[in-house]
Amino acid sequence: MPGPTATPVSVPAAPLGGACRRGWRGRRTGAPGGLLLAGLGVAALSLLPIVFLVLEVRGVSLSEAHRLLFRPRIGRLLTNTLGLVAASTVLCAVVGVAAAWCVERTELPGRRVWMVLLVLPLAIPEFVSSFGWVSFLPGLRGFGGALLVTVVAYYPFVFLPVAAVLRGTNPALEEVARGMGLSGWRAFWRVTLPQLRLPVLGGGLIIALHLLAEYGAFAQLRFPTFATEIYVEYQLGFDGASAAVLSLVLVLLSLALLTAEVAARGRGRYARVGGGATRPHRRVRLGRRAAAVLGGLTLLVVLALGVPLSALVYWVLQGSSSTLPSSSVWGATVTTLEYAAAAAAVTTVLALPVALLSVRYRGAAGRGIERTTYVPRALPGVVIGLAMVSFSLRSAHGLYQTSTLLVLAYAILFLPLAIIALRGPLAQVTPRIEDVARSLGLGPVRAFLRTTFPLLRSGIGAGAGLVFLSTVTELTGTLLLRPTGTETLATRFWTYASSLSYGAAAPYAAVMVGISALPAYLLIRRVDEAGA
Amino acid sequence: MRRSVIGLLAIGSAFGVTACGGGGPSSGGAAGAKGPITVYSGQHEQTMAKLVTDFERRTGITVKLRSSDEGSLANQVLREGSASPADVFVAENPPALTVLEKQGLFAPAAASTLAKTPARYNDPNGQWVGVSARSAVLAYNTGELKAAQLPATLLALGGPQWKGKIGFAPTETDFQPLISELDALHGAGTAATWLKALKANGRVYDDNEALIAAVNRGEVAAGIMDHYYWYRLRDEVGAAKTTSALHYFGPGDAGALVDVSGAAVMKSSAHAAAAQRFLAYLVSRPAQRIIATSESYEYPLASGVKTARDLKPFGELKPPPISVDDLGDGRGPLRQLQDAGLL
Amino acid sequence: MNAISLRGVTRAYGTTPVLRGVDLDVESGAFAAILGVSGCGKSTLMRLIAGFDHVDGGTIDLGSVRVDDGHRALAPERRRVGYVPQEGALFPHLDVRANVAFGLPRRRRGQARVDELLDLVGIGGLQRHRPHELSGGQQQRVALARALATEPEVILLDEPFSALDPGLRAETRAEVRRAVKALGTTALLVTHDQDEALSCADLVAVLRDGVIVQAAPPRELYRAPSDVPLACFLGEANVVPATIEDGVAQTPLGPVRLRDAAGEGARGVVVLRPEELTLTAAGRDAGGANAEVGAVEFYGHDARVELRLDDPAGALPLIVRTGGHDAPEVGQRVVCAVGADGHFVGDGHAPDDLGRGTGTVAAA
Repeated sequence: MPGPTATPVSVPAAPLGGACRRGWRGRRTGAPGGLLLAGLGVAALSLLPIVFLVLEVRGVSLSEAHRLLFRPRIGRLLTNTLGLVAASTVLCAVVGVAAAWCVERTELPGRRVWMVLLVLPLAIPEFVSSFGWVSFLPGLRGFGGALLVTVVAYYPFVFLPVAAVLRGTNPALEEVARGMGLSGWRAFWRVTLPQLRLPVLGGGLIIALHLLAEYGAFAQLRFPTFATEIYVEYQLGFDGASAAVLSLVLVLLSLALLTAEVAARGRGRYARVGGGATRPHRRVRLGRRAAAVLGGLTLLVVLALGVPLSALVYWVLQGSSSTLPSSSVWGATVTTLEYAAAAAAVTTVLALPVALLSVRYRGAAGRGIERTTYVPRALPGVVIGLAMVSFSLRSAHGLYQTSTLLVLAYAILFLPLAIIALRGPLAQVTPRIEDVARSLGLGPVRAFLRTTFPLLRSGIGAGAGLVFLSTVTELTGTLLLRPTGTETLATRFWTYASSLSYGAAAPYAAVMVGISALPAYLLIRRVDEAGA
Repeated sequence: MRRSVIGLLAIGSAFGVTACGGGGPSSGGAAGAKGPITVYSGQHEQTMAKLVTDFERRTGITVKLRSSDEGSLANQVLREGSASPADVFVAENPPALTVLEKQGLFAPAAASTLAKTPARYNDPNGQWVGVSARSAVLAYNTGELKAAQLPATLLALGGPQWKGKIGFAPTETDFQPLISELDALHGAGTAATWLKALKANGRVYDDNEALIAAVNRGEVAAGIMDHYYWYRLRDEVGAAKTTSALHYFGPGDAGALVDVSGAAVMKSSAHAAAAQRFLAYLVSRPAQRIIATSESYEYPLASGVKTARDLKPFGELKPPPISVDDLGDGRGPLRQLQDAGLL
Repeated sequence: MNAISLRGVTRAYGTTPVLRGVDLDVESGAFAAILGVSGCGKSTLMRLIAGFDHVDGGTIDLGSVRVDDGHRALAPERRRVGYVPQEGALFPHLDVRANVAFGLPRRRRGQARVDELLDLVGIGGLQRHRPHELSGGQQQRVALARALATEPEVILLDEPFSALDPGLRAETRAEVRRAVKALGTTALLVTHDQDEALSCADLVAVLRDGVIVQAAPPRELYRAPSDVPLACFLGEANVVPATIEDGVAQTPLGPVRLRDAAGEGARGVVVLRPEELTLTAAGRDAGGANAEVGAVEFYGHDARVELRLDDPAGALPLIVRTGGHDAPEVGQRVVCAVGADGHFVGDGHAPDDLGRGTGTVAAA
């Protein structure tokens, strides 16, 4: 028998004495102290860049801040940024839901292949896809161009969770609705769509935050936003203070987004009620609509995958500078894999307490901690990078220009991806099973590891996969924080692309896309498991 | 150089790990003559890598090269201050050097090093040495414009005949010195007026790479930039597909600006002697020959070394009589760009 | 000795008090039930005993160990309390065998022990099944076997049968009681189902508004509830106004002998179960009160008859259960008499609104 049998029965039932024996805990309510502490630690890590941003802004005089914030250009940046965030997020939601519905609920031929093709755009770095677009359509610029490029790059953030929910929901719900006399379309509108609210909002939030921070694509497409402006301030004025002022505007915008998402989410919780294995859904026969659906999906894949990939192929074939030592590709690949794996592992571990707090203990503390970790996602990599430079120089000098600091920065940047991936599966697991495990003699950590944790595999895989992909393609933070001499695929690509040696740059981008196959597989497995 | 990330994490106590950048205590005695040295470079990476390899071979001093874009690097060094792991800072343009110099982060360059290059291309205070140079040009599409239509002055591009024909990349570090130059030559306010006119006439590009590609395609008739972008584009797409050419502004015009890349030794360097050797090497004959033959298409600055590329001879460039110090630290032009609504 | 002993246990969520001073003793080896409507705090009580939640005030002793005193609480894994939650909460990623063996130390996870436990709960041979392949009743039994595997001193059953259909419920209930009794484990069942509590527990504690209103063996509780709402909660009851005279209760139905002594002259009500009243056709002189049949629900083996008593103080409604063979017709005149000793509840226990007439189950 495990520990409990050792509890001596002779202990008097008198008021407890002063000595605190093992296994005794102080009084508590709500979330366990250890978990709360872990969550607060993660939130503090996420706040690091914001804290250093504020420190930097303190050096700006009020009149200078006024001049910076109320010059004519700011209006344009604000319109551009907000307009694009709104339009692109909504379009991503429409495209993501439509594509997921076609793949999950219709008799689409080759569903599995479509699934892979529709997820893969996540594996293409934003600077590669916008570069591909600009090479093919040099006239592409401004709002329209930015909208097109961001929608085809980011819709998978909605597509994936929506596909998982469509696969996992009880078909009986829609059948009941049909039985009540609703047409197929109205049943979708009134029963299916409300169930998609949470995954759409979660994906939409990630996209919106991402768009606030996006630099590479908008720079290529000559579409100025706050993020591109921040880069320019650093680049031309070497002026951290004025860039920090603009960065704080992004922080405020991200807070507004986070509040709006909470409001839109409402009190909704669409956990599956009742047990039993999921029946597969009856698929809609496409009939004459098949051509339209196939055409639409093909167009989407061509836009999202075809354009950037063929640009890569074109430059490999056409470029005269593709004379590179293969060893440098190999070395950069190994380094990139190491960083991506480390970032995926660390970020997932950090995401676990936050996701647990926000799903299981939905108090103000849990929600506050979760929301805090989302804020840095709205900041461009250069802002996070420079803040981490300041932080380590001031408070952790031993970490400066080490791999550890770089991995921490990746974790700060990509935590929301891992948290959102964990939320869904976690909500499906009843905390009762941990109670049972505790009553069977397991301590809290072992109880979690042996019951809930194994059930989160798919969510952990999906979160780690997303972090892995994002780390592989991260550039600006990497340039600032990497140990001197370290080269990743992204920094190599940048080196060559920035000197117009596209032929030499292309193989690095190709490898980046190639090694993203595994994480993409993990993401698809998450959808599979939702239906199992 | 590359450490195993996983291994590093496995070590666990991350605070025990020292920076790879080698900012640690000197191991080469008081003079720090043996290095290793860390070089922060905002310069063209492939050329820099060649220079570093050659330097290591000649001196036995190990060099850790950190390449990034100049703006990020300068911001990074500003934060590092005296704790910088860097021994040498190499920049593409003078403003980045001026910013760091104003913060008192540089040590004076050795007189013998400064003596190798023309004084007008070095820092007047002797804190950094010019290494290579580029000329401002007007790249134009040969299908869109005839040589006779090309302007003699930069200011002329503000004229109505250039409406819709001129492209520029105001966020490029190459563009800012032109703004300082106009005011220095023609009096305060000139640049502001010119920028307004240019904004009305022209198309804004994000960077010179995009600009030269647009000019070559004929998307825009002409673009203001440094000369080497055109040469690099020609290398990439081939002479047959190069449908553009370069035009140099008239002698002494603001547009005839010669922009320099420079290098400095950090005051905080623990390997100052080795760092000074690196600086001396950069303006030495072997290094300047590498620059002269490199794919970066820059002009070597040391006397007696000529470019091996088919560039307009350095001696034929006629820049205006403005010192590099007059170009400032970039904050002035930034403000003017902001006021003109370009940023 | 008591296996479970609660003294003055309080617990509030925010400003809402859930438990307001619960006292309860469960003897070692007993099968006890806590009965209450949903939201009365019974699941909270269970979680406090298991250690998943901690008391605000009061004490909890398990055996001779004080596990919670409002300041410090023993961790759940050290309490030796088995827990069978609603719907079983089997570990979905493990098969039946691994579920049952979950809490066992490695060396005891042998086949024999698991077989023994599964046989005990009556579902041998399902070792390799996954939870989702089992019926609801099977899931509950696996959950029980899993909880019993570690030989706990106390086992807590949190509404374990509520998700089962009625036929399966009775069978599973009996099986569970048998298994628990066979091991001599103290059991505490939480339920909102009166029949369930009364039929399988040795002791039933009724929890209402955060306090235990009465804890007694099932028969005693049913026959002598401490107040009228409780009486009605436990089953249909006729609540008839009464005054104590000469040691018997004077009621509109005539004098009723009492099971327990009551103070002379006391006013209150007598609680009479429908099966404690008898009916005879009017005209026969059998003693009792005249009444008219208002409604009849015929079940074959018996019938439920609603009456209106001819009472000078107003028509008093009554419910009577009679054998199916002599159920009266609607509108028939009958004589209603009391066929058993009554249970008197003094005025101090009878809220005005429930003071007269029949109570319904929902009244509690």
